[in-house]
Amino acid sequence: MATLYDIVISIVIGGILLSMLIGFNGNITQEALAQTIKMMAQSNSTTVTQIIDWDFRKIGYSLSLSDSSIITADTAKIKFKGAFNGTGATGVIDTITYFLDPAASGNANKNTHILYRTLNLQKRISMNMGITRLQLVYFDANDQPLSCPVTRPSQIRSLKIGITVESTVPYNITTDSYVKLNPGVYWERTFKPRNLR
Amino acid sequence: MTGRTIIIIVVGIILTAAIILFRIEAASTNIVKNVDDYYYHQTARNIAQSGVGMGLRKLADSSSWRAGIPLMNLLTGKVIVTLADTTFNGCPVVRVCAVGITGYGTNTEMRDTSTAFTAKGPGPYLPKAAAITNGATRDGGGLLIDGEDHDTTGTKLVAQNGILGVFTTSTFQITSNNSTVGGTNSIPKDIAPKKNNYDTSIIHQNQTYTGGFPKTPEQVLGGVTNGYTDGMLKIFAQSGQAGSQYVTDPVMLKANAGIVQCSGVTYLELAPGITWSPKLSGSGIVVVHNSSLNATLKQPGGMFKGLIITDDLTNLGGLDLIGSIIQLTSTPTSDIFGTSNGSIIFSRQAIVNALAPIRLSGSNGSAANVIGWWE
Repeated sequence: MATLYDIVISIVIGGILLSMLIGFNGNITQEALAQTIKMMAQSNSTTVTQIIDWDFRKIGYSLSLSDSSIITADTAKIKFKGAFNGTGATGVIDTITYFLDPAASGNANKNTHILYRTLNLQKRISMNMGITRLQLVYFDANDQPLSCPVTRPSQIRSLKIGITVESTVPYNITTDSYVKLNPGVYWERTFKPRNLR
Repeated sequence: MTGRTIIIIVVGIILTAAIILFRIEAASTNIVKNVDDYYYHQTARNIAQSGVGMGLRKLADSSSWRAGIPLMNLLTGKVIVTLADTTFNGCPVVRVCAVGITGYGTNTEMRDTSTAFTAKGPGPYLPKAAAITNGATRDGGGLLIDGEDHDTTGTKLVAQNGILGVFTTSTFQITSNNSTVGGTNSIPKDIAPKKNNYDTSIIHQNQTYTGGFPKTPEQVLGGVTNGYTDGMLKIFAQSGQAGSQYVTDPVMLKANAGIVQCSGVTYLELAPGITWSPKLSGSGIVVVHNSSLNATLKQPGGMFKGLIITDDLTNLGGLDLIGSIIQLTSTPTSDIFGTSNGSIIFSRQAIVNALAPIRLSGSNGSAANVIGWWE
């Protein structure tokens, strides 16, 4: 009888341990997946922001005094001039346009949109990096925000850009019940391009 | 289920969990590294920008300083600053380049470069002649033109230090026995003003202006190669520095009893065809100009020291000018240059004084004089 009792208790304890291990395994598997997706989103964010950072810092570089560097300024679209080639050479003035397409990108995550970058009249380059939101805010010389679209871009002295990047596939992290969105990152930066005038 | 089976299952689960945990850790490490790299890059950029600031500050103290700053500790990294004379869009500049480094000598080393191009101070200007024109020029009345060097009171100063009396791309004709022309020729020899003086050594007719006759006030002063970018005088006048004025309507100029008070750069951008007939006083640079090259200065009077740059000029009688005058248009409304008494007496010092506010405002290394940033 005692032996039978021992076996039953062992099975119960073993079952509890086993179920704990399986539950733990399930949780860490999900967390590993979430972490990988977060990393991908962050990598995508870094890639996009590095390109934007390179271009935005050079707005107006090598332009003559009389030119206004920013041509179009809206909440999800900006067009500006400058010399952007990597050598720092002067004289070759290019025009770059950034535009977030309001249409869904076609990814599994329906919230994502494609960010287009167009250099001069070349074919636009699409950045399908899981961007769900792009917000541009423009400020005048007194750091007062200008209403969009900015009718007089020559007033712009600084601009703030905010970008939210999510995973390109929807993913619900059940382990973090307070997180309602797909894994992603938010990046915000204020640029005060020194060549802007 | 045997004990062995249970052990195998447990060990398998533990192994699986360990592998997954390792993957989580690796992903976390990558995320942290991503953030670290971004942070280090920003830090390197901050260091580089601080290095440029240091370089500009030292350059402001000494415009001839080009030694740069060797590798030194700055903030949480290191910086190297180098300087070089170069051009930026054709404008002579000093390039101040700083490389910011974080994690120097380690496998996490990160570098960023920041470059500022600061315009050299605008250069000096020496006119070719006391009177320079781009069209047929007729000197009547009792106008005195003297290219010999004088002080700012009109007293002859240094022998053999003057310039030509007249330089024109067209013809020069004297139609009055009272007109006198003098100057310093290329020998150099001073030729005192005298009547009916057609001395071709100090009156140069039908000349070719090297590089083309100037079409803007800045080109008169040597253009971008001499540190004067187009629009610079207008901007300076608009700034109000040194008492400068910029107007499109002459009525808006500061005047005392009808006499215009000039200082710094007095810039009149007149509508096409508009004529201005002022009495002048003061000193500096007077610009009468528009993009059509037909803003006209007619029959000015008074006493002025410095440089007058005008699109069109006619009837220069009654003005006593100590300095120099240049007419830009090749089609003046009249070829009558002088009609009555008046004088154009060259003075190096008056020209130097006239340009001083502009040249000082563009002092080498001033952060405000940075015309391009690459970062």
